[in-house]
Amino acid sequence: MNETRSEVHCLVLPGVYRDSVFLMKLSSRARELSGARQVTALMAAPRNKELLAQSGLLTRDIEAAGPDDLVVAIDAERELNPVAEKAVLDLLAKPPRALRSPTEHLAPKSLPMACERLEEANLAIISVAGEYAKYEAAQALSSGLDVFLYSDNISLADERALKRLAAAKGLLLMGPDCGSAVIDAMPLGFANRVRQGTVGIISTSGTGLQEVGCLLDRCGLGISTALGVGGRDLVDDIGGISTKTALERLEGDAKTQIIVVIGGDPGAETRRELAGMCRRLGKPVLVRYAGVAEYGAEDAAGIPHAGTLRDAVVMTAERIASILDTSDLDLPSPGVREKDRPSKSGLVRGLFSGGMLCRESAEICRALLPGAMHSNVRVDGVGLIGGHEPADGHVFLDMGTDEFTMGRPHPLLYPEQKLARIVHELCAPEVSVILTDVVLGNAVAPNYAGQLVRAIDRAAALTDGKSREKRVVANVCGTESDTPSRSSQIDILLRSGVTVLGNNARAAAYAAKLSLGGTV
Amino acid sequence: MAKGLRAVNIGLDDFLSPFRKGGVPCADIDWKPPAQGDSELIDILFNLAVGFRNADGDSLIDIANHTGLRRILAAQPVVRRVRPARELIPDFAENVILHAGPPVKWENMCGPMRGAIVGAVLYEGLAPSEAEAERLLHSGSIACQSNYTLNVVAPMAGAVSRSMPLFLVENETAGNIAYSPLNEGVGHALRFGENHPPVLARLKWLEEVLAPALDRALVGLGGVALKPIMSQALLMGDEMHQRNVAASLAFYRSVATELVDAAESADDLKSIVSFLARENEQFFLNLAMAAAKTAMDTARIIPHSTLITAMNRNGVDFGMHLSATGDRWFTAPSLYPKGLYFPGYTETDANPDMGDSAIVECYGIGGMALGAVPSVTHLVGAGNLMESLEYTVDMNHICIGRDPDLAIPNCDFAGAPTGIDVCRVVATGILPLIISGVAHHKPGVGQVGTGLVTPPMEVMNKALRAFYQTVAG
Repeated sequence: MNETRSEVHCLVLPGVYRDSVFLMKLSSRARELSGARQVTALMAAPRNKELLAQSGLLTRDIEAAGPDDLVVAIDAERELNPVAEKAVLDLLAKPPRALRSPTEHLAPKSLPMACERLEEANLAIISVAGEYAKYEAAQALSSGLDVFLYSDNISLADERALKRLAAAKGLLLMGPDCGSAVIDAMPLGFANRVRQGTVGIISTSGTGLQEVGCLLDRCGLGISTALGVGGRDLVDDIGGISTKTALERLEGDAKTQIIVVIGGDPGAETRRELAGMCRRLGKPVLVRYAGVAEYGAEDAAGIPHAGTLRDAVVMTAERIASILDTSDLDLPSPGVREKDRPSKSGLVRGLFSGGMLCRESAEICRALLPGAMHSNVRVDGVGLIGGHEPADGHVFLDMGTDEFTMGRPHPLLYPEQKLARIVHELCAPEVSVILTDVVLGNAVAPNYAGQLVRAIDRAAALTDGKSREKRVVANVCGTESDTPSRSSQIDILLRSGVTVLGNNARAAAYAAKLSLGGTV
Repeated sequence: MAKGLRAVNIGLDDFLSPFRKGGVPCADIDWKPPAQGDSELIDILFNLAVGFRNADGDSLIDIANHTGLRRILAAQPVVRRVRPARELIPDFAENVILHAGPPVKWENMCGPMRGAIVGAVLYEGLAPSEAEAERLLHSGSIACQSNYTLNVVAPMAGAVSRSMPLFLVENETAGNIAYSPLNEGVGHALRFGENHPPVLARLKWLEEVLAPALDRALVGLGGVALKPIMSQALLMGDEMHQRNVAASLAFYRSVATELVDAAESADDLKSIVSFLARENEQFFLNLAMAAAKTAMDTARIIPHSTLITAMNRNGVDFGMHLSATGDRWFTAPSLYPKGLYFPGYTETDANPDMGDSAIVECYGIGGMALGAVPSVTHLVGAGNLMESLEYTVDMNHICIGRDPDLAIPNCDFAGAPTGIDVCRVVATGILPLIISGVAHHKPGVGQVGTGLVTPPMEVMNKALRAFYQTVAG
């Protein structure tokens, strides 16, 4: 008997009470978990001590314990003692599952509680108004979650504070104002159903990310992961904090073989840092920066760069497989003919849901068109105006900026504001071409093409058919896997006389030529 | 992300639809604007959440709060003695009467507290009549002082005088102590502002008969550990603020054998047994309060900690301590409890909430553990048992942890929500729940009901602002 007793390991927890049924269940569970011969947890009441003595489990420490003390006798191979002890303590500290109560069906009211319910949660998707979203994002990062922050109207200082917190905790903050991402083939925000593949995308722009993902899909290529980083991530005040984290993530992602970085207005210092980082990365990186006249930093680091989103896709495709046919990217819609030119030359109105699409269009048209040009996004040689201000010359508006979305939904969700502007411009005598984007994907307004066609009809009714002499040029950003599919939306547009081009850059160039009244 | 996405969603429901279709784990949050949309408070919460971090990016506030939580959970309160206040507390001046809640002058006290203070003056023999007692209190010859100044907690009016016996409760883990008077029992009682002769006679019996016997019994036992009793009582349907039936009997069981020898006479023993085992279902409340105070005091004055370390009410104002700001009282007008009234009384008779007893809610029991107590479902105005469970689920939103040693069976043995974080209270707008007795607003009438009350939101906002000023400089 003495021999047996010497093997018994015991644990005394003074002043800890548990009910006997609970302890019986805990004992058997701890035995299963640890592989011990016997684990017995009891309150050290005299009757229980007798039971332990009968089983040869009564140690000196247990004998000395009082009825308010919880004691655990462990009979096991010596090396299993710590395992069994840990099993007991874990089971005591944590109920089998946190708060399985009859109220479990109620949605959690706070982020910490949601994380408790959804064990091992790793991502927070946040789309409430910016003034509230910043706090929720801070909470999510504090709780160890990556964040997809769709919300905008967050100050640069607050963005910096959030991104510094994310970096300190090794987390990725996508946003603020992050429209799109694809992780584990799951579309986040406004995202298309694209093929899975080997291209990783990092983008400051949601629609830039969508356009590249969709064009790759049309080349038969797929993406591994697409990460948004927020429109201002590359300004020097932020320093590309999220882009750097995203590069690290994609470097560590086995599926990713090549990385496309899409950005706008990178700060000089940030560009140098990113170029250095890209060069050191074990994977090829290709960049497409809007608002950049020279690529000295990238050339020095041997980083290839593309002039348009379309070129970025073609260059990526060539690097993956030189035999890929990318000609489909440039195909215009059937029926684009010379007679489709407007009856007279006039001004272009570019009205977009996507910032990067707007910007690229303005850049291309600036190169092709003389005369005054204005935009609410910053483009070299183009006058900067507020979106609601009157402006002369050609005008390009991103209708997803804060000035349009403060207190209102984004045009991708509810396009009424954008459509009203299209009607207004179709009625304006000085305008001859409307250039616009039709963006498909998860969560966007269903059948946007149909709504656009109705807007065009409305303008025709208001102008006694005069607006029909103008041209509407569109790029449809989407895939055949989207609902509705790209081809079905194109059909609707073509039936109404809208000219559909193969990509955003082509659409812009075509609009510019129409505006000049020249041959296309 | 290698393990696969598991997403929580705040905002547009459409963003989760691909997850639902694909069977990817996700959860929607039943979201409301933080801090009820107050942009100044949101900025404070934001700055606290993103700033104040160590080199590893860990929040100093989280670290401080979890330090506090660990100490609270580790506390092992043991009741050791029952001795006269003057003996336990040498600083208790002869012309002082203690009161519940944050400091309040005699002139500003509510009716029931005045009644109780006058009762204590008479009990102490400091004045021959009510009128004389009031004159001395008015002139300042007899001073009123908050219980907290002398490490005492007492329910309702909380009037404590020098000769009243106090429990000495020691937290064995940290070695700190707290005091509380003996609970007078249900019915007419000083704590509800009554001061007529039978009330004072019962206080005398507590002092002369019960206290000496209980003290001898406790000394004989080497003290009685209170946390095991609290654990057991929660399993038996007590929350230990409004309902103490199981806890009181469990305590009685612990001392019963020793009391037989400790009582002076058979008559004394009979009256003691009758009082503890039959008449006073609330006897354990005061022990729970002192026990909770010994636990909560270990979390006091931790720099950066936003834990609420004390809540109390003086019948006019609600008072609160935050860990980081130590002894600074944050106050705002005390609210009226909502609940059930004794026959003949209505809400118009009620005095605003009163007493030091909300210390038990700081600790995670009382209103915080409402889900443990099916029997109070209707009392607290919940429509059914599920609703009262929801209250406790809500409390988890504002607490940083749970006490596994205070398991709530109805919540599948999840521990009582413990460690109320003022940041979470302000962010969610969810206030701690307190179960409280209701006193009549006039002195001398007594208890008129019982119900549920919360701290005023204002006190939380004030405390958060002050905390922010302290840390942000």
